[in-house]
Amino acid sequence: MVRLSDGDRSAVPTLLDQLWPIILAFAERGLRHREDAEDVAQEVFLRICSRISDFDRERDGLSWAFGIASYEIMTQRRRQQRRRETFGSSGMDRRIDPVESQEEAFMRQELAAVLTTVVGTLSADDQLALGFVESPVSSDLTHATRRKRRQRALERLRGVWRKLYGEP
Amino acid sequence: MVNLDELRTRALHAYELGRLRTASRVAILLIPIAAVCLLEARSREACACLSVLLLVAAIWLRWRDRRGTESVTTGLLAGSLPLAAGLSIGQLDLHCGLAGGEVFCTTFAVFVGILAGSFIAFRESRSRGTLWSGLSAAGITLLAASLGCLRLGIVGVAGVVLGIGLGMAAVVLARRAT
Repeated sequence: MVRLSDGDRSAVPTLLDQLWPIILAFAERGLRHREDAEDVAQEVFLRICSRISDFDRERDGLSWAFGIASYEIMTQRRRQQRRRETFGSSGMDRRIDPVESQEEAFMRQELAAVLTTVVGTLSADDQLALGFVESPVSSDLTHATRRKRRQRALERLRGVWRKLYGEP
Repeated sequence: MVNLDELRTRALHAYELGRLRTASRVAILLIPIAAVCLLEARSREACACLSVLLLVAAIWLRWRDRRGTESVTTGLLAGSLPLAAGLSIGQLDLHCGLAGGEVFCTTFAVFVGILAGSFIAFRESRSRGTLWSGLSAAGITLLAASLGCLRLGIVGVAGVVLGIGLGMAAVVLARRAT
């Protein structure tokens, strides 16, 4: 760090090799999340390099680096806290939780059954245009024609849905 | 996973920008000095030219390395005396020359230059500076002194240059002798 603050550019790779594992481990301990810790450690390293010309060589370099790292970790934690407050804890839990609840599974099954019923009322061409069935032969239709057919099939699907279940 | 090669490149970029930002702080001191010089109607173009040269040289040296930063500090400290003296004498509407009453002004310019040169040599020898750092400091002193002594005429500036050289040589020789 002293070499770098003196203006020796060749010290950057050495500093990266020596300081990166320490900063990363420190950030991981502070944030307990690997990806966030990597982001913060990168930010810390860039900040150290940016401010190193102001570094007082009488001071301990590692303490100085830890000071910057602590500040960045605290900032990241405050940012996470604000995000939790904005979205609300229940909303965050639902986004993060990968396990589907019984109620959600029931609703999904019911929706699939209704969709199957509605799609069943459409003609084979409309089902093909919407991609519910695969074409047995390769189609030589132009992109514009396929788009128009899909649009018309979608309108008919909406019409059937409206007739059976009201506004979609 | 972090790409360390990319991080190294970004770090080097951030480092250079940081150094440039730190080096540019010298402008806070130099711009007011240049403004004082530019307030005078005489030799305004030369003053602007010298100010830009001084600013660029100071920023470049400070950006390069710590030794350059120290040279700029030494140079500006040493140059502040001839700068202030030149600006003060300029108010009296004196002009340096080699004949008549103008000799007094020339002698004074050489004397002030000797003081500045001695200061540079003394400070550089204390901080174990190299020949390059001594010359850099002398260059900065010369530019700063020229800003103040411009209105004294070319003989005044030459007198300061001569004085800086004499002062530095005297201190270096005295140090070697002891």
